[in-house]
Amino acid sequence: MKTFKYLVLSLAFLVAINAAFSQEDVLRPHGKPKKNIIDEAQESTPFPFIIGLEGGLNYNMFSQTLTWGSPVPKSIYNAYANGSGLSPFFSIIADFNLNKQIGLQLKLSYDNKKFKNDYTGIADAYTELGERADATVKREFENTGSYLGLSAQLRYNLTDQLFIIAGPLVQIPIGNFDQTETESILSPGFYYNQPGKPTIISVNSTLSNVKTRIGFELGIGYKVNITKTIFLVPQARFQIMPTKLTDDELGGIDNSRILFGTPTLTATDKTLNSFQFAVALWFQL
Amino acid sequence: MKTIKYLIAVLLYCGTAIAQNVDVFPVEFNSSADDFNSNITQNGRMIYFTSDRKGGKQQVYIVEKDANAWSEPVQIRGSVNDGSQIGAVSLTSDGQFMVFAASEHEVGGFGRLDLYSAEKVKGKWTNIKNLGPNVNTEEWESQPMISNDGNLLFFASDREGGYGGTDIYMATKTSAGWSKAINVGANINTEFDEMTPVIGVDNNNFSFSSNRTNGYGGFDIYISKIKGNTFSPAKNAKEPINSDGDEFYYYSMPNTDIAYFSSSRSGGSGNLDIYKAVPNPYSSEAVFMLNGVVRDIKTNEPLGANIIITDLTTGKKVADLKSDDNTGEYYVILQQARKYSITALRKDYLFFSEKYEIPKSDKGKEQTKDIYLSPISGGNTRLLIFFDFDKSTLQNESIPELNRVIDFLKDNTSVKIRLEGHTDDQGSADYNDKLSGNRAKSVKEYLVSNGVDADRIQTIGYGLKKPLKNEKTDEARAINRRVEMKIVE
Repeated sequence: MKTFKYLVLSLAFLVAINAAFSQEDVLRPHGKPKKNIIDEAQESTPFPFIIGLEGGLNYNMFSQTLTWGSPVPKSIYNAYANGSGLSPFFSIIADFNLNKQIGLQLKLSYDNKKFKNDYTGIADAYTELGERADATVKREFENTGSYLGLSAQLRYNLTDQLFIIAGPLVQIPIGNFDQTETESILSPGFYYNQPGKPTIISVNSTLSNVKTRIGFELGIGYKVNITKTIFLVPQARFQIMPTKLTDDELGGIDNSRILFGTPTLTATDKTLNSFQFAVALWFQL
Repeated sequence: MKTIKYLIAVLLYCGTAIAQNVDVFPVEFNSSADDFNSNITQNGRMIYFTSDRKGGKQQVYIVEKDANAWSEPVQIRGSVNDGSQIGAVSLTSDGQFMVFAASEHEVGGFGRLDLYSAEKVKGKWTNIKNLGPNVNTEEWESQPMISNDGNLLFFASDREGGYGGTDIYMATKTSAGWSKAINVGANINTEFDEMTPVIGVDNNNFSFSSNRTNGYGGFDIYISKIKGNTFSPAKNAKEPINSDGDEFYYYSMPNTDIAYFSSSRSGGSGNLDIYKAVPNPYSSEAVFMLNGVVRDIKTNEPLGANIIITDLTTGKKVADLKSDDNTGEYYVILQQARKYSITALRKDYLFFSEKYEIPKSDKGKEQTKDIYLSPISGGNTRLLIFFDFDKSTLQNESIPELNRVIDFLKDNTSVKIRLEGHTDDQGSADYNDKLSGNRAKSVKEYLVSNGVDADRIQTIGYGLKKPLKNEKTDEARAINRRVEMKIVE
């Protein structure tokens, strides 16, 4: 019933728009093509001001460089080398036409980031007899946190509908970046400590030293007229963030396989970049 | 042989057009909306154009040239713009009469879009009239183009019975109004859309737009020549006039190398813009342009007056124009190799006529001449009357002026006149007294034979006694040979 109401309202709206603009004019029998009317309504204001709301999904791509003091074959800590995940974001924008082709767009975003990874390797575990031996173990991690995003970007219209957009971006962390780490022993008959103890353990913590990041955003969008002054704007963007996610972690220990000792494990160059897929509603004022 | 000559002429014509380095640039008064139909009037001093820059509603705007810059566009004053979509105006050369297209005009119409006329009275466009069923139908009629003398009307219509899409039609002015419009034929119209007709000031060059195949994209400008009701095959105006956008309304400015047209090409202010092309590769033939101010001879105040142009060879009125009510300014365009009389008429004033003989070689000439009208009471005017040499026989060229005298006396039945004959200084005084008296009597006889009461007309021959010029030149003598009409009661 709700859908039906929506359809009726939408049809009535479209009929009203059509009636308003399919008028004879002195240059063209039956009037201007509707597309031109809408374009012109946009262009008749020399410097139109647009506000917009948008929402979408991040596809996050995390990576860091892991360096062991001495080799640990099939270390379960390889799980931390990279990660990916989907997360939502929401933005409000203000867009000013500087001229017919170029505009300035300011954006304030709530930008959630989530990424995870798992790795199945070899780690020490205990048999039912209490002996320590190699077992097949899967280590997973998932990080979740949010930024307040601020950007000022230049929009360049390739056509009346298609545009590209690019500019600097600042991401300020909001709250903690939560981390959940889980290990699962996949080899049957192996336990963490002794027989009867769990084969899965999970630890929650928070990342330390999450940094305010500065980066660059580049995107492409397409304006679809809904009315003369309202546009539906699907966009695809890439956020490239040279600033590291956190500080480097130096001097950690890989103690998953005592046989290979307890070499240091250094994690450096933690980067988190994202593809963004957004749908916006722009309102020309 | 004729075909070969024609081909060579066409090749030379095209070669000239292509060889010229034509600069095309937008004018400064364009907006981001549609701006088109740059109708030039008053010798390029004003441009009327159509724009939907305000709320998507087509309206008529005007810009005036001040020094070298165009003024800010303003909507024209009066009731022309009282409709939902108004524009595509065309004006006579004096800028005092226009035809325009309107949808849902307050005056009412026959169809989806109709053609209307308007007159400029005291600076305002008023007296709006629908051009009637000989021109308008229940379909779309728009883009009227009136010749500078106001006698030919072209327009576009999508009525049934054409070649397809919109076609160009024409009508001629008759004493009963506009003739039944006819399709201008297959040399202009095709199965595609033809529109925005423009006739040059020479009444010979003809341009229009068409979206027929093999153009440069969208609507292109095409050029043709008109002779009577016959059009030469149309040719694409080529680049840089045409582009991959739409081009409409190609106007050649008289006696200059400038053209204005409208285009949606990239690089403008958005949508359709008005562009200037220099040098104009398709200029009209040069014409003789006469302008001036009509004034009261006593007060020197400017007067709005009817300006009648008569072809003295045929005796036919070829244009019925007007001077501006506020400024008294008039603009007249005359074709070369013709003899004309220009007459200014106004209620409560004596008319005044002047002869202009435009030689064939007199190309692109402009002349300014103010006309002074005398109020009827106690007034005096020189009649444009011609006699055979050394005789009192009226020449045929005198007939239009004599008919004006008859009309004047019929309109002013209480007026009595004295016809005063004058000669130059050649010959004896007695002979000239007699000749001038006989000439005045000849005029009286013509008037009486056409229904004027003889008691209202006195005649006298002054011979050489009252010269206007004392010089002994041919020019001075020509001025001195005259018949004046004086109001005596």
